[in-house]
Parts: sequence; C-alpha cells; structure tokens
Amino acid sequence: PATGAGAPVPCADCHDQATASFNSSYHAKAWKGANGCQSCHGPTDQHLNKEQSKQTIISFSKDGGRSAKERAAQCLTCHGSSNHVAFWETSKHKSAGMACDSCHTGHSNLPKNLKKPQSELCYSCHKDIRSQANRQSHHPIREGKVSCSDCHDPHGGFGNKMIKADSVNELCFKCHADKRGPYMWEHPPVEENCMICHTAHGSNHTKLLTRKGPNLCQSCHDWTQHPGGPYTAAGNFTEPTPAKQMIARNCLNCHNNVHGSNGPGVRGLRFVR
Amino acid sequence: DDKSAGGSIEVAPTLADVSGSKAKFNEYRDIEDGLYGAVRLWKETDTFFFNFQADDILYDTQSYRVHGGDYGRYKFNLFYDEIPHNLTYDAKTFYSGAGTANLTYSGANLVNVVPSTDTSTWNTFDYEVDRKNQGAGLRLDLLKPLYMDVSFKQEKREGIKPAGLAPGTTGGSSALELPEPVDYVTDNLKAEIGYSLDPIFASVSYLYSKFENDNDNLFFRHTVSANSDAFTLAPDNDYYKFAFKGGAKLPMSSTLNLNAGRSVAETSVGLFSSFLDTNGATTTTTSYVLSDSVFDGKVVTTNYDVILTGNPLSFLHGKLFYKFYEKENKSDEITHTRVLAGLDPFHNHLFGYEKDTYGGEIGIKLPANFTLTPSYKHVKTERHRGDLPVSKDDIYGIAARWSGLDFLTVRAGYERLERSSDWQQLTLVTGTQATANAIEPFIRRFDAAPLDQDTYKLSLDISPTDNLGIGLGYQHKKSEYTDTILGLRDDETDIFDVSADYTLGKVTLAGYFSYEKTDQFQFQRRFTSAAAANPLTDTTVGDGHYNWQINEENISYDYGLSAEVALVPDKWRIKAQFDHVNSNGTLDFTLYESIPTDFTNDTVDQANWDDYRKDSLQLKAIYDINKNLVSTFGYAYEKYKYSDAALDNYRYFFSNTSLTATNYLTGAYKDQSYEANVFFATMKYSF
Repeated sequence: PATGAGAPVPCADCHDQATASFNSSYHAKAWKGANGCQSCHGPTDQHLNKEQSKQTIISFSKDGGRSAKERAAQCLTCHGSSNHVAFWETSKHKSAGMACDSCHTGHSNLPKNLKKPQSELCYSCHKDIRSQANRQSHHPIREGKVSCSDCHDPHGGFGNKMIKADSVNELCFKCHADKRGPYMWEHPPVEENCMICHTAHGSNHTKLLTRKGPNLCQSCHDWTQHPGGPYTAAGNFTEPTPAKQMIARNCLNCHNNVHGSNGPGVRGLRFVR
Repeated sequence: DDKSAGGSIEVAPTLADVSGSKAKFNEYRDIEDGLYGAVRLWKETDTFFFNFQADDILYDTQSYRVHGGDYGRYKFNLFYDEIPHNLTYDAKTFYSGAGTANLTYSGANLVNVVPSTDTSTWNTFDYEVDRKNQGAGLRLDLLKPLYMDVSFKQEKREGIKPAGLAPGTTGGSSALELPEPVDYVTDNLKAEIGYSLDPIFASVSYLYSKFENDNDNLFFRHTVSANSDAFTLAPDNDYYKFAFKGGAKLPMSSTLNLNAGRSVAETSVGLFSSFLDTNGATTTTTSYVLSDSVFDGKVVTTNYDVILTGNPLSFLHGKLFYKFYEKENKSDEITHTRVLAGLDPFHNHLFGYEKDTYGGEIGIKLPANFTLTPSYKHVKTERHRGDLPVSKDDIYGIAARWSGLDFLTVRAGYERLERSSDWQQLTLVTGTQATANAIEPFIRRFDAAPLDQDTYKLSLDISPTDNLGIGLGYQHKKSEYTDTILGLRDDETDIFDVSADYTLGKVTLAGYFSYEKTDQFQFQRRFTSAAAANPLTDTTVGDGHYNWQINEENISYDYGLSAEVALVPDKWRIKAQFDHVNSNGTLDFTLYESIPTDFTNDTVDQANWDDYRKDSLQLKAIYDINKNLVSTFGYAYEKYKYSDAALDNYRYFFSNTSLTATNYLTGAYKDQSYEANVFFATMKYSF
C-alpha cells in the first residue's frame, strides 16, 4: 500500500490516482509493501504541514524544480549497484541531460517500468527513427518482433550509438550468423561495417539498403564493360533487351554472394558462386 | 487489489480479405481468416513471482514466454517465438526441387537442351523464411553483490530465399535466379559473472555461438547442359568471445570505465576446383589446381576501451575516451593455379583492419539553463586493402541545450567530419593490371574516401500546458567526397519532423509528420579498355568510352493521426489510427555520349525508383462488459501500391537470342502491391 515509509502518511487522500498506479506497478510488487511514497519522494513534513507544492518534496515532474542529477540520484539510491546502470556516466543520454525519469516511472506497470511501450517511448525523441521504421523495408519493429533495446543499451556502454556490441558487425551477426563467414573471398566493406551498405531501422530500398542497386554498387565499382555502364530506362523490362544489371535484383542477379564466397576461382572472387 | 494470482484469456476471430501480394501484406505478420488466441497467467507470493504469456497461439507469429523468480534474488525465463519473413508467394522456376539443395529440370539430359520458356509449366514456390527461436535464461543474485547470468538461445531458420549467379565463364554472360534453401540452426550460449556494488562494477562474460547450415552448396543443372554446377552457401561457423567490463567511481565525481574483449570466428569448408563454363562443360580455363582442398577460415578480433568521465565542478561534466578495435584475418591463403597454362596463379586476399578512436567532450552549464557541449573525436582506420589503406577522421561537434522556460526545451547541434585518406594504386588479385592503373586514380570508394561532412540538428520540445506536447525537429547533412572523380561525389539529406499529442477530457489526440529528402550525385565512366580510361582527357566521340552521371533524388514523407475517445468512461472507448507513408525516387541520368537508340538524355531517366505509398486505417470500439470481460470490435484497412523501374512489367526470361545468353528469373519481389480489409473482434476474460 502506498503510505509513507515508517509512520504512515496519507498520500492517497490527495493523490488517489498516483497511489493507485503505484500499487499496480512493478515497484509495488517487488517491494511487497515494504517501502512507500517517501522512499522516492523524500520526507513529507514540509509538504504536509506548510506548503503543499511540488518543491517541498522530491518531485519527478517537469515543474518539480529538481535537476536531472538530483532525480537520477534518487533512483540510484536503490539502483546504484545495478549492473544495468554501471556505465550510465558514459551514456549519450546522460550527456543530453536526461535522467532515469525521462523514460521510467516508479508508477509504471509496463516492462522495465517504462513510461510508454518501448518503441513509442524512443520515438518521442528519435522521431526520424519512427519514420524510418515505417518504410517499406524495415526490421520488424512495428510488428513487435524487434525492439530498440535488442540492439541499443539506453544506459550507456562502449559501443558507438550505444549499441550492445563492440562493433556494428558483431551486433548484426548476433541475428545474422550466416553472414559471419569467415569467407575465402571477402568483400572488404562488408567485413568492416554492415552500415556502409545497409541502414538499421528502415529504408525505401529492399534489404534495408542505403541506396538501390546498381547505383550503390557502382559507387565503388567502375570498371571496363558492365560495371561501368549506365543502366537507364533503356534497360527496363519494357524494352526489347532488358539489362540484367538493371532489372529485378540488379547486380545481385549474378553477384549474389556479396557478403562473401567460398566459390571456385574467379567465380568466387566475383561473388557469383 | 490484493490478488496473488490471476490471468486472462483472449480470443479474436478475424476475417481478412487480401487482394494482391499476400506475402508483402504479411511480410512479418500472419493475418488471415481464423481464431487468434492469447493467454496470460500470473502468480505472486512473498517469495516468488511467475508470469506466463502466450500470443498468436498456433500462428506463424506465435510466442510463448515464461518468466519468474524472486525480486532481487533470482529470475528465470523460457521463451519460444516465431518471426516469419515473407518475400514473394507463387514464385516460379523451371527447376524442380525448390527448397532442396539439388535443382534439376526434366528433359533429355543432352548438351544444349534449353529449359522450357513456357512459364505456365514452371513449378511454383514461396519465398519465405521463418525464424523459430527458443531459449532460457537464469539470473542469480543470491550472493550479492555477486551475480551470475546464463542464457541459451537456439534459432532455427527455414525457408527459401532468392539467389542469383552467372552460369558461365565470363562476367555479364547471363543471369540465373534460383531458389536457395534456408535450413539454418544457430545456438548461442552466454554466461556472465559479475560483481556490482557501488562504487565498483566488474564482470567477465563468455559467448559461444555455433551456426550450422544443412546445405553447404546449392547444386543446379546447367541451363544448357545436363551437367550440375554448384553455388556455395553460408558456411558453418563457430564463434566465441571473452569479454571483461569494469567500472569504478573515483574522487571528484569521476568514473573510470574499462572494456576488453577477444573473439574468434572459425570455419572449415571443402573447396571446388572447377566450375562449368557458358556451355555447361568443365574446361581447362574453368579448372584450378588448389594449394589446399579445404579452406580453414579464422578471424580474430581484439578490442579494448577506456572511458574516463568527470563532474569536478557542478557546472562542468567531461568525458575522455579511447577505443581500440582490431580484426585479424588468420584464414588460409589458397593459391589457385589455372589448369590452362599461361595464366598467373592467384590467391585470396586476407582482409583485416585496425581502428583507433580517441576523443572527448565537455558539458558546460551556463546561466539561464543553457548547456553547451563541445566535443572532438579522432578515428584512424588502417585496412589491409589496396586502394585506401589508411583513413583519418576528425570529428568536431558542438551541442547546445536551453531549457530556460518550463514549457520549452531547445536543442541544437553541429558536427563537422573531415576525413583524409591515403590513396595508393590498387594491385589486382587477378585480372588486367593495366586497367587498374588507368582507372583507379580517379576512383575513391565512398566508404573510405576523403570526405567533408556537415551535420546540423535542431529540435524543440514544447509543452505549453500539461495536456499538450509538441515536438519539432530538423536535420541537415551534407557529405562532399572531396577527392572523388568517379563514384559517389555528393550526398545530402534534409529531414523535418513534427509530432503532437493533446488530451482534452475524454479525448486524446496524437499525430506526427516526417519529411525526408535525399540527393546523391554520382559520376561514372563507361569504357572498354585501359587505353581510353581517363575521364578527364577523353574527348573522342563514338569510341564507346564516355562519362555519365546520375542525380538521384528520394522524397519520403509519412504522417499519422490517432484519436481515442472515452464515450462512456470505464465502459465504451473508441480508437482510430490512420497512417500514410509515401516515397518517390527518381534518377536523372546524363550520358555524355552513346545515348541508347530511341532515347534522349531526358527519356533515359528512371521515374519510378522504389516508389510506394501505403495507407493504413484501424478503427476499434472497446466495450468493458464488466470488470472481468472486455470486448473489442474492429476494422483495419491497408493499401500498398508499389512501383519500381526494376520490377514493373516483370519478365521471367529475356534476351533469349541464344541459348547461352538467356536470363532466367523467378519472380522474387514481383508485384508487391496489395489491398486488405480485416475485420476482427476480441473477447478478453480476466480472472
């Protein structure tokens, strides 16, 4: 029940909705009645006896007058030893002035005490990512099969963009182990960083490509004969002789094994076997 | 509510009418006529909690999760879930055996028997891959501050995806699209032991991952002979990684954070020493003597990071970091010697790289709730790669945040990336070195090319009242590849976002709009021999050597509106959501000569470049029959219209002027448009 720690404090008399939400929260379940409002909101003497404003308790409201550091410190009183926040000080979110209550609330009954379902919560700041996730080629974030925290650790760490790995490829290979190789014939940019050709959240182009082939491939591969040719409307299916480098899966119609190959000789070297 | 156990059962009869591509409609879903079900059970005691959740029971998206434990002492979880990925239904191939590793076709096994071009006789199959994940985890906190976390996950991936190859000797002869079988199993085991008590944290972890592909190769009968050739598939591999992470709080509100890891990925693959030529035969030009018949691949990565943060003064926060990442390639070097005398032997190039990153940032709190954060980062990458072996990035940034008003937070940022790269003449593994000598001086591959990049960001979060929130954002990024003559030269992106939510009594409204425009400029050269490769000096018209360029533009926008109205509080609610996504891409070509017959520089352009629009509408009426029973009646509509120059007016085969130049496709990604109406109802009983 949401009463003050120690001597009962009648918080519910004024804050009935807040106490009701707390009582159905994960915090309430975990604490099993052991702690009350004062555990997070601090002593209530002044709030009860003198001035019933947000400034006289530890409030997590925007107009509560507490800095991000103060608000975070209140959470870290209990969670400071959690391994999940061990690297919070390194976090980009910390640098941006965010605190625990930017995303969490002690009154939540959602997983991880989030204020909103995870993707909606992240989109509220990362609006461009929602737009990307809406695109025709996307990871199944919208469908609820992949979540932001599958790849990112919002509490900080050592990966760029707060990813949960030491390199982009290590992260991608967790789900795409078939791309791990190691291959005899390697495609250097593939081995260095998947993001050179792909984007993570969503793309207008199939396979989450940053650009559609053959243009993407030709950005690097200009050579005699077909790699250097312009594949224009003259090579579409509507024309008598479509260009196989242009139609369907364009370069991948032949060079399917762009992630690496163990194929024979020059056929493997060119990723066509 | 003092209940210690409970749960819910939900059933949802659904009617779905889909015209067009059912695969694209259900790309990651399984919406069809039927009865969907969900179950949740939970129990809480003083020393134990338990949750069971099942969704989409017996459908391709089904998931089952169990988690429980005792808060702060131990937790466990078990799970099983499925993720479908549907690409194209009713794809076609003249081969039989789609989904297996052996593709053949009927007819006399004689050289030069062409497979049927009557697609009505071809076999149909579906391009779809299903992931089935199952696993378990256990977290122990019984010996605090020590903890242990162990988890296991197995993923089975089954289905068919498109593959493509050139079934001949020389590049560009013809294309052959094949159904590639997917029968993968990946086992992941992770164990972590740590100590976590403020101000010290330390952990060591071990990850083992084993990938197994049931099919090492895809065998297919050559298009013009009875012989079978092989297409290599993803190899089995073993991967493991040891890692250490540690952190300590130091005086003056500073922290020291450490990370180190070492991983090994290994594979062993039997190699083919020959392939079939354009006529479907093995010849001396398509046969090799290999230095080893087995390729043993081994890649080792080593990384370590140090991050020092400090908050020595109330108005100052700083961060210094160093990161090292190295990928060493210890794989076999396999020498290939062509049986046909006179051709030089060659071997595979072993790629690896090393990346050193260091930098820092200082957050300065200024008066009037103004924070300024200048930053600097330097990245040096050394690659075992012939053209751009070393690149150095200098990244300067400044971010500002102002929250001087309770109802307004403004963020602005600027970042400047300057990349310099050492270029050197590429030495070919095999092929005509003179061609490389002639063209490579003009090519700078964009992933490592010298670059000037400017990024600007601005965002405003406005909440004038408790029930109104507005967000505005703008980003501009411009990349200029300063040394590039041939390749991607310029890349520019503008993004504008707005979102708002508003609550007034029984009504909640929310909406968003996002607009993005990207422009790329790419300059290329078409040439047939090294002699005429110089794009700067060649002025000869009509020799087949010429320059050309593309201006690519993509304009995308999406918006959504949602409304929720509590018609009768705690009884009747109505929810409505509409989303629209639109993208329009164009390619503006300029060919400096050799414009195709019947075309001009205006008509060679591509007007439909991954163009699509999608409209989605969902309406739901939710009725709380009583405290335990909730019903929902709903309707969803979705229309997706896709048009693309590479897929419109699709043909399964073409250029069949000669047997060896026929291209055979299967219909992958063909006709993706659809329109769907879905009616659904749910009845949820909670107890």
